[in-house]
Amino acid sequence: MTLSELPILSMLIVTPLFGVVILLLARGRGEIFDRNVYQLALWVSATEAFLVLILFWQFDASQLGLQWQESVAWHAPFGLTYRLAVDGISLPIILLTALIIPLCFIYRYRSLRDVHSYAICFLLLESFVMGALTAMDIVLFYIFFEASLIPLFFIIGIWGGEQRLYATFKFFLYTFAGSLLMLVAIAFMVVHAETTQWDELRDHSFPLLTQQWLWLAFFASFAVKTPMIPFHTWLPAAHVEAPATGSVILAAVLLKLGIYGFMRFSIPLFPDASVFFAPFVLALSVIAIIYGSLVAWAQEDIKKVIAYSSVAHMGYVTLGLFSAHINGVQGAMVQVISHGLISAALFFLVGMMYERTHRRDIAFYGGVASVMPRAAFFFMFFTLASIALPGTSGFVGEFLTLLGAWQVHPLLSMAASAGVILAPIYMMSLYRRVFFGAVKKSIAPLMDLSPRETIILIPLLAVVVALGMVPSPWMTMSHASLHVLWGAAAP
Amino acid sequence: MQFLFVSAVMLPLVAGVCAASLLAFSSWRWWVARGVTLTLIVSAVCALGALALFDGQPRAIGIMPWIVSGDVAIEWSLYLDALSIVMVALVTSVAALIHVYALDYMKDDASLTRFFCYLSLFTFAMLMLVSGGNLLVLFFGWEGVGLCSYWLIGFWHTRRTASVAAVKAFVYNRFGDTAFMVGLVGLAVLTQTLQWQAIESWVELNQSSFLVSAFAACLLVGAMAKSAQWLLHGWLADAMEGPTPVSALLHAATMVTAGVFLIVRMQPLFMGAPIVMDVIMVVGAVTALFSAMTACAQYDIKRMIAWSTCSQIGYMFIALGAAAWGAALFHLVTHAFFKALLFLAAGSVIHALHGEQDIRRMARLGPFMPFTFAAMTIAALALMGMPLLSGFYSKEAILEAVWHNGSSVALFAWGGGLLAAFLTAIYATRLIVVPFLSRKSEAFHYVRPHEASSLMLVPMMLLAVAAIFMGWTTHHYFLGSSSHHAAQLIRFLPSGMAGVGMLLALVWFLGRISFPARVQSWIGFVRRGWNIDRLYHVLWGRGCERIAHSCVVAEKEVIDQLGPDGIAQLVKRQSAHSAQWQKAGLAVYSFFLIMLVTLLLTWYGFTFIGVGSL
Repeated sequence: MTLSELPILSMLIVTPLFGVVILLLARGRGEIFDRNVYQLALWVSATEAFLVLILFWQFDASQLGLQWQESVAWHAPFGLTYRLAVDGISLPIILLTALIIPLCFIYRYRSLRDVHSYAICFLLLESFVMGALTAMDIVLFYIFFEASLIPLFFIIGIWGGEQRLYATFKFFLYTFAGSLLMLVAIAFMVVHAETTQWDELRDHSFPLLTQQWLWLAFFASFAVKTPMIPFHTWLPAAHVEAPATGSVILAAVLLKLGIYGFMRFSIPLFPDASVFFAPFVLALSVIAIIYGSLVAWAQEDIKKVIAYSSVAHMGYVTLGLFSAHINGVQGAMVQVISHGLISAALFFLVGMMYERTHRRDIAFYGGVASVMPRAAFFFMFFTLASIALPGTSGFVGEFLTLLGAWQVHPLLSMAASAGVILAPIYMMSLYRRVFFGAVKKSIAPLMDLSPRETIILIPLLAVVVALGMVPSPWMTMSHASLHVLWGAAAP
Repeated sequence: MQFLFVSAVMLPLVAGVCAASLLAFSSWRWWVARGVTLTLIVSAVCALGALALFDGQPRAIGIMPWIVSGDVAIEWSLYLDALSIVMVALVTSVAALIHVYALDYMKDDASLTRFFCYLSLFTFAMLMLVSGGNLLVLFFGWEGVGLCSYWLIGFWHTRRTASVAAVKAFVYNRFGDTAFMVGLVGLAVLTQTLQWQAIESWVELNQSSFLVSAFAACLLVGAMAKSAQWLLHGWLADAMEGPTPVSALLHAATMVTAGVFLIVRMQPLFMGAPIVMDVIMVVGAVTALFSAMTACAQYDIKRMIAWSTCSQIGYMFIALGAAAWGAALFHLVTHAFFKALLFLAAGSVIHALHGEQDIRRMARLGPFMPFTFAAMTIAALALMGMPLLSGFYSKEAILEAVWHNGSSVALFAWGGGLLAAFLTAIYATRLIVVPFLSRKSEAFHYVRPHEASSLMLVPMMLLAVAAIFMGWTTHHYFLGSSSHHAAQLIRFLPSGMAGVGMLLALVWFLGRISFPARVQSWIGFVRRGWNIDRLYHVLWGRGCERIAHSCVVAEKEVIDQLGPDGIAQLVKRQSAHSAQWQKAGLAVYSFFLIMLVTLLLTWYGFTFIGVGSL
């Protein structure tokens, strides 16, 4: 059997589940057991990353359609199939996921109850996310998409902060409510098109009015997930209450499922409705950039600042995506990956500081740069990447999305440029208040980042720089798929 | 030659990255600092070599593709032409001298490595800015300069004022960059590559189109913020929080001159926008006057020089507005040398007085530090534009060019420039007289000040030589042999004004003339920068903060109330309501049961037994 015949996508889904089974069989407690659990989970996710690398090397960027297809009939009466494939839209997000999850296992909490279940939740999450990103059967996608909520529900609900119950329910019910509308739409589509296959649904043309209703139903789900204003209020609550790695996974991976949904389903399946609603989405995006930045500025909690900056950054993504121009769409993809890396690193860093102080309020900190120079260095770097300085991946994403927006209307691009000034205001004042100034008494005894913590941040830094300085090799990966995304429907 | 040019640009990056990787080894800091300095000197030698060997043939040096998407294809590239090579030579040589100076000035600082890392990266960013092969690479350097200045202004980050000033500088710059970004995006869409030739040919195709003026205006706002022009000047005086070598570098060769360079580089675009050119001239004249006045009212020696920079850049803007590109560039070069010298001399004074910056607490330093005194005098005279010194040639060239321009705006700018020359002489004289010559007053006494070490004096002397000779040795190179000269009166009027100002200032400061309280309060108002900072704080700072806070309230009270929280409450209330039904007694239950059974039976009777058919 050659490499290309390997059912590698199924392996992506099964490998973490395999880890889960082993973990379920294991019993024990104590420090050594916990360490072994971490190790095992790390190895499983590293194997997963290795598989993804094979996928990446074998991926043919010049080819337009789906690759690595696998298909097994599943439930014949409904025409359901277990069908997996990748293309240039899903591969970057798969790479991102495979990079982030091992880092979450390198990260160690000083005291975490029930590491066993914690690792199981993360591995389940990885499996479900991989499933959602590769599923080419719309019902299969829905199952994985919804299933990915469950592990995160537990991660925030069990290992979260004080108000975790409010946050969990808000997050769960909000996203679930959106998804139910999508389920209704899926049922309708399956009945009318008599297929559940993604490409057959794409080729089936619905009348415009139907498309509009279906688009809105899908939008309900993906807009909440992304999140777009005004469906974003679950995000700050969830981020603040989630443990460090929970926030990382939420920002870096789960939010990307919303964008992936737009790219995979909303736009190709309902091209006319997408064109119809594009101005509406563009307006929401610009509002997200400005409003998100303003709200981020007024926050007193470090995690909330970063959470709202995520809202603003995702505004750039939707702006580029719905500009329906190749510049904007490619910029959206770069921004997706870039934001995944940057926000993951920032949440890691906040988590590392939280581990030492158990405080998240900005006012508590001050002068951290003097006692934790290494943390200050990394936080500075990712702050700069977050405000999109040229040379970092953030700039490539922002610049290209602004180019796309210019193609729609110069005024749109100008309005979105407000982020250029707003982002440094909140990020720099956050940085100043936390890291600069005289060293506070409560800060003085803090230890700088350990080698383990540094190892987590270095790959993120390297990729951010690589993407910022030489983005073109990475961008060619998704170029073909993104080029046809809007197809003839582009306005 | 190309190799020399590229190595001159890249060596500071190598030095900076090496220093950054050695940050953790603080015991090596001395060696790191020396290594960085040596690399910078090599870089300067390379640049001067390239300048000497330059054959006048512009060429682009492609490195690798950067952003390629759709029609847009922008690459990392350098551009070698007369403009960039002069700037590279200027930046590297001034930077190298300042590095040498800083070796001694900063020797007691524990973060020496970090300082030299920032300093060399700052130089590198400026080199990228001036040698970039397209507007996006220029923007990379542009932002890099802003970032490094943020690091260096906030170098002593435990001081609150320093970190606030650093953020202020960054935010002001980013304000300009927002406009720059709009222009950048638009030009990228329209020219695809953003290369200089592409932009030039696009402007040629779209002569007098609205877009040309719009883009020029966008870039102008960016340039104004970077070059601290009027209304966007607020960050420059506060930037004095950084160590003195930083101020020298920031004011002389890097950072503030970037705006001038941008306009020179984009001259085809600006030539196509005459309205913007007039605006540039007015902005320059207002800045030159306004900042010269403010400089006269300062007490802090570094702030005086900082406001003077603002004012001198104003002159460069006047020249740009008059399309006198050579004169603007010439003033940029001469100004770089004498301004660096002023700052280094001021640093020497501050060093000698253990951190004292208030000139009211300085007196009679001349005999103690003769070399510093000489350096300060040369620099101040050059700044005033005294004949034969470098400042004379460039300032005269600017005002002459503006005079020849002839429009009413140009006449206004000319008048402003002339008045500013008068004011310049006043504060420049004050810089010499008050700290070095005035009698010691009884109110204070300090330990015997010492002359700077030779490591600090050597760069100062070299700069002094440049400040003296730069003018008449190179003015042909920048200005060409211009055919028409204005009347001798017009040519010598600026230095005449400066002479009058100097005499007045000598009387004023040596005679210790004091003003009535009413005038004093006005001077205080001027000293605070005409309260523009305060106005901005109230207008923008508070205003935006209020908007941000109301957004936070809206978040909780509107979005959440209409969304999840509101719905949750509604459901809760409704379920409490329907729960009432469950609590009802047996009578109600049996009533509903009987009703239900009756209905079912009726329905059954109608449909199946066929009562209806009877």
